[in-house]
Amino acid sequence: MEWKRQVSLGYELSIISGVSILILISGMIGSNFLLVFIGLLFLLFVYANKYYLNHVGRGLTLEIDKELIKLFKGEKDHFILTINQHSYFPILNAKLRFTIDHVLQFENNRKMLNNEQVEIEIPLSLLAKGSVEISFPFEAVNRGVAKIRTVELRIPHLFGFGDVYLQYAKQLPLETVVYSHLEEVGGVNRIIPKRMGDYPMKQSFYEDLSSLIGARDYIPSDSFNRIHWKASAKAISLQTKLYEKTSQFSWSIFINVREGNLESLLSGLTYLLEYATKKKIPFEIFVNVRKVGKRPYIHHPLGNGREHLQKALEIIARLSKHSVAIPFPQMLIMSQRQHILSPYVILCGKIEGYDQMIKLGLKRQTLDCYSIVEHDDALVLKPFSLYGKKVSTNAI
Amino acid sequence: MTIKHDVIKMKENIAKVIIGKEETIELILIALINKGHILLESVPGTGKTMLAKSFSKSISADFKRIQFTPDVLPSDVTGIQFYNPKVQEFELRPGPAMTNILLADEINRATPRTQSSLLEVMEERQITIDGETLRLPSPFVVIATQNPIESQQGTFPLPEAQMDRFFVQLDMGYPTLEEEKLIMRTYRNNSPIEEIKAVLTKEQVERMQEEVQEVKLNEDVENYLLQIIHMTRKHPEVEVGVSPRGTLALMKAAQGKAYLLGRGYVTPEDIKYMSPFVLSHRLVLTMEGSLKKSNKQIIREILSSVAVPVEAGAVR
Repeated sequence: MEWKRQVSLGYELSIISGVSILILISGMIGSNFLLVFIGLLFLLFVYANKYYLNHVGRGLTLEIDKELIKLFKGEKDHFILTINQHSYFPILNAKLRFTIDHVLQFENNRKMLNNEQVEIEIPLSLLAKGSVEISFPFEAVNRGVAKIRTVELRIPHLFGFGDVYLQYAKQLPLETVVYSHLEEVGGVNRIIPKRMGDYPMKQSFYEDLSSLIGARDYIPSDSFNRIHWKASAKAISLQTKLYEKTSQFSWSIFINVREGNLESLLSGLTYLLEYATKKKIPFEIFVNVRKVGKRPYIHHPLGNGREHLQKALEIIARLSKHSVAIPFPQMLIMSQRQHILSPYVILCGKIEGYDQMIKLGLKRQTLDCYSIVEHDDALVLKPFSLYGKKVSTNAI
Repeated sequence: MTIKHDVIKMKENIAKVIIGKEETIELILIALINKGHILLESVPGTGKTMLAKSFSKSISADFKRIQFTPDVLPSDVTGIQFYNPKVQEFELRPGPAMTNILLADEINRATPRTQSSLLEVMEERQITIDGETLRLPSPFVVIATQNPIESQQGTFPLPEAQMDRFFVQLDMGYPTLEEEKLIMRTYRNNSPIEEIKAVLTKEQVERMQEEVQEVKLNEDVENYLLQIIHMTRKHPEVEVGVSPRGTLALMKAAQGKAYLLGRGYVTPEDIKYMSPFVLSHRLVLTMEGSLKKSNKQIIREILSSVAVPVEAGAVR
């Protein structure tokens, strides 16, 4: 059954049925056929009323044209709800009401005070075996995920004697993911790779010996095993192999959902993630939202590319302050034990305790650590300072 | 014997092994008769390799398989010149690419260098080994498989140039409940791949390849096709639209669809049907676009926005 049904009959109907029985009895006693006829007519009216209320809206189905909408904060889109009426009873002056998470804003929506949802109410009239398509344009106003939580239809009786309340028992499949908007973060160019790895660089101390990019003339200081014999044979002079210059370059990003200024920091993080994807820098994300399993926190593993970014932004969109969180320092310590972190660590949120100990631990692993901080209404990437050593953000 | 009969025979033959994928089989046939290469993409365990194997067994032609891993070298695909000490000369040994049907299994596990070795093979149907060029036999089709969920560890995404060379990209998807029940019953105590027999000959395939070119497109249908292609280049969420190679592929695919249905002309419906399979893998979306929509969604949007031509006089 798609709808939960609740019928409320008006007290007028009970009065009319009582009166009609009285008229019927008095007509029968007085052998007055006119009164009997009137009494029967009233009874028929009451029966027709009850029959209508019990059967109106049966076989009503809902369809939605989209299942997943992804958009950035501030963007607009729409979805179309189709209501199909399979019954012969017309629906007139009904009110369709649905509630949806407040990350979306509709025309004439009403914010619900007790929860983070908005409600939309529209009039609805449907003739027998008819269908109607209603378009709902909206604007994404907050980061998050929006789902249609409840759909209700209140159908009044044609003459106002009672009404039918229908509540949609299933979940409509629409989900709208609103990504955080981008806010530029200063100082990101200062992260310079300096370890051995496979990230292609213009200049590096290290080379990827599996990635041959060409050959040049041999010079006496070149080592013997770098001679490109095939190229040398073709050129009839010694040639030296040229390899791609590479370094290790990847980011480990930690998010503290308990951070008071989370929205602003996540906007900065969205910028950093898009920057990393454009520069093909692999990244992984740790979030201190409690999860069942060996690792009691969310971990988006190391990777790069657009699909990786899409998954990361979806994780960020789904983060909520109401999630059950584990202490941020605990996640930082556990992640160091359970993973080999990338050489560049970026924190999104404050360390609530043991900060010096954790920072020292990260420094001992020779990891370069940064945190996203707000400075003069702008976001900057600030290197870690130890034991109260202050690094001026102006120097970045 | 009519083309419809051949198609039904082929479908029935493959359906012994692959259950509930009639549409995919038909699309592979369309690619085959258009000398196009096929990229099968699906989650593990949905029968990509099995489909490719049963398809190749259904045609009495040469079949070779390369299981791609990160250590497969370009020479493992194309071949090598090796020094034969007996005759004291260099000898040419062509690689597995010298065949009629080449199964490139898990193609995205090969390094970009090895993947690039297929560029010449796929487009020009020849291999060049140390300056010596060899023509590949006809027909020649590459059926590649890849797993979309392993985009990170140990895999290398196919470059755009390579993707453009695939005639169609097909997503196998999961079977329905009924189909899966049938799969369970079919595979309970036998291996149907052993029972597959060749139902088409090389000559029949070559005849089909010639006949499909005779299918006509009228000007309205041509314009409709071109409008779709041009919309892919103007769409705000598309960075790189469909190439002229893609235009030709869509035209041929529509011809193939009409041919398999026994028609001598292409309708807009053929173009609309084939567009998602032929065009979606050729699009490169912008960063914002790729975060919000998939390639197939963009193609659907374009198809819904381009006016479909109707027969003159049909609409007043």
